[in-house]
Amino acid sequence: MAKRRKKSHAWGAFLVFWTVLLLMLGCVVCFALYQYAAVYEQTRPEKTMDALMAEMSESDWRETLAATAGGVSEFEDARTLFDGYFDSAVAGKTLSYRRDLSRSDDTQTVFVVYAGRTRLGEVRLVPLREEIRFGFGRTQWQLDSITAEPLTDKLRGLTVQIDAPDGVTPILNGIALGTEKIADPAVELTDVSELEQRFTTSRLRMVRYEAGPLYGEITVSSAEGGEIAPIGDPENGVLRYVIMPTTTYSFRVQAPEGVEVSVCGAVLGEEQVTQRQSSIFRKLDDYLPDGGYQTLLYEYDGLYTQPEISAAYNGTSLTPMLSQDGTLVFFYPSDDNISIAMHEAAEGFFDAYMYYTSYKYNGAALNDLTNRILPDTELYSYVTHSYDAMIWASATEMNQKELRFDNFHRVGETCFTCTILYKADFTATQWHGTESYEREDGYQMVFIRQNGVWLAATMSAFE
Amino acid sequence: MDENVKKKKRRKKRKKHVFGRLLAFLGLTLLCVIVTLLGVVWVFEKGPSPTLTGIFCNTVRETSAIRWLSNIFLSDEELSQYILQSTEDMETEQVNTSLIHIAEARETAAANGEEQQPYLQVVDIAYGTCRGKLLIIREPKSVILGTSGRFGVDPGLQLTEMVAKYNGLAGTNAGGFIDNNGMGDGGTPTGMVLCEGEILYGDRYTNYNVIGLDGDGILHVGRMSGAEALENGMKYAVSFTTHDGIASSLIINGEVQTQNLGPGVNPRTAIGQRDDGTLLLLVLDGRSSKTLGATLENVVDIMLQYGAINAGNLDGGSSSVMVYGGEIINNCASVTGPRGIPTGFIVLREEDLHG
Repeated sequence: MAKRRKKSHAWGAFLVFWTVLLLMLGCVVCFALYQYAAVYEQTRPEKTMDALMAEMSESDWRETLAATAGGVSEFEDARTLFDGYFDSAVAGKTLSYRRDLSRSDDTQTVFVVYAGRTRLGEVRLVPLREEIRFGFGRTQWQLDSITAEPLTDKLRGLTVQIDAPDGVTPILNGIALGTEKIADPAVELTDVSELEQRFTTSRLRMVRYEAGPLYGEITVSSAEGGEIAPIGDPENGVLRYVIMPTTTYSFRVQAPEGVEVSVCGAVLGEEQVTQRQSSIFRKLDDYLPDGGYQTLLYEYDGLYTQPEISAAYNGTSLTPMLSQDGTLVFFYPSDDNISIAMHEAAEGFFDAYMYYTSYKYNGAALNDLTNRILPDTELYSYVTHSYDAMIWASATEMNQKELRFDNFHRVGETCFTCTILYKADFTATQWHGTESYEREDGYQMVFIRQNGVWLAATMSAFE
Repeated sequence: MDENVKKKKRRKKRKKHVFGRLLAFLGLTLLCVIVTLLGVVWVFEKGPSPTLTGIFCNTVRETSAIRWLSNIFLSDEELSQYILQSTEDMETEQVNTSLIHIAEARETAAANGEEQQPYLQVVDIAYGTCRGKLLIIREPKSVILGTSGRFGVDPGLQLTEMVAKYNGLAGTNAGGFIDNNGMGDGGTPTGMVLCEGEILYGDRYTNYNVIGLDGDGILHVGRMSGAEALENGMKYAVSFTTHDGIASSLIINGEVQTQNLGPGVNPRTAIGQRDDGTLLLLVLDGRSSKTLGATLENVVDIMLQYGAINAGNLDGGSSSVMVYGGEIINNCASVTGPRGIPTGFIVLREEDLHG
């Protein structure tokens, strides 16, 4: 009995020992874990970050990060840009951080600092010392550097493209663009009229400047003018500006119908015709059953390219005359056959006309002239009525210097047109003295054949 | 009473005696282990490291079977300091589909003479202590949502079975399921299941934290009703929130949804998409000696590292599983083997996609 009780006591003692042993082991485990937890908490890089976040105010972050912000072009101020970015990112938001595990290891821990969901910058921690407790060693961390997010990654950068006429210097954010910013020395000006877009032989070329990327406010101006607005919204990260040329050109061209008039290779069409006239054939309907031809006036203003005007008729290029008002006047090309055949008629008329207009009070001169003019025409009336005025005119001597008959053109079987150009020195003798002058005139003539004789029907002076 | 009967009684008494002693030994041992474990839990919950408390509480609260552990030494009020507040009703941001250029990216790459990326890549992930696998899927339309069968009637399918059911090449688990105390059979989903443009589970009017793909293969993550999901053209979708109501959105339009990133460490499954349409299916292991698991922050980091601009968190823990070539290729955390699940994202074979 005593033996059994002894055995029972031994078992009880074992159980107590076992339990105490297990509990002690448990305590050791818990204690070790407690110690590890303490070291873990103390050495967390986040603890250093928490201290940093508590220590630094918003303005401290601004100053610290701004000091490392850069990477912008000479046309912008990094600090101003950073302040703008910081203000918009931080407004009403709390600063937080997240560890960047991909860049963290035993030698460094990298945290990304956020304002709301926007990255502001990075904090780099490096080991300070080893914290050992209960055999658990963990690294304590200290601040190494704080760097701002590159503004170039965070802000929307725009490349500024400015097309300017050669010789005009664009000014970007107050800084004149130098030649090193020229991206293309000869680009076409696209914002031009439909006519100018069709120019092929010559077209105004602009100098294209490129700068950027720019992340903040953009102002573009030229030395000659004020601020310039961009052409629409940015496309593919490029914001375009065009400094339009201040010089514009115009032209005024007169040519008979059927003559193809071109400006810098672009053929003029109905859109450019401002007037159609057939005045030289006025009141000649009885002699011209098919009518005469019309003369078209082409006018255009606001070209940026200096116009180079040419004309051709049935493949023959024409040479223009320049009228006193600057109109380029084209005629049909001279038909050599008609020129030879009709030259005499034209010359005969003009000689008679010049003789008459030398203010010789001479009925024979008048008769000679009117015999060469188609009766019942305005020209005929003009000449005959002028006779009464001749009495008061001075006697005039005339020496022709250059007389040219040109542009002979047949209009039907009984009509041709031509031009007469001349230069002459005049000496007019009046009661108060003598006056000499030079005249340069030109006429467009219409001749009609009547009864086998070519008679002048219209005499239209060039302006 | 004869001698034999006495002997038998003595033997029986001795047997009882030995059994009693063994029982006492085992009982006391178990008691000591429980006390030790309670001590460990106490250190985690009341110990010197609030960080560990946060990790511990969030980790166990994400796990159906042991979420009660977080309340052993902490009152609800104390606990609320460590766990994230529910965000499921706070989500307003929606995926901007114009940021995804599937065809454009392919055409640009082809025009630049770039080699086309493989149809499917399996990448080993090692990020910090996280380990897992990532599927990079070139054609977003090659991913469909697989379902186990009749929800609430049939038990869930293991992912290998589900991938085989759809003759898929690979897959991961997808949405959550009812799993009371970790005993669910995976046959009844939680939230909404939308398949082939039809709501198979859930309704049109309730708001869900949706993760799914539209008809163009664009990934959508965010809060929306079933009707809104259909209006968005979604073809396949599941919904998922944690037990504490943390929304599933991780990245929307390139913005990290930090409010949804708790510190809990668990096995994870997530889906993401690059701006060229490439889909990313990620499974991270956990609850093993190799890796405890990953935080959602880790998941976001990996997704960002691989170029995701939208990403959502799927059901994790012991459900996290990835299948490729008919086999499970990650270390499934479930002690009883792969679990039955109601839904999974299945990558179809290239020949089936074009055929």
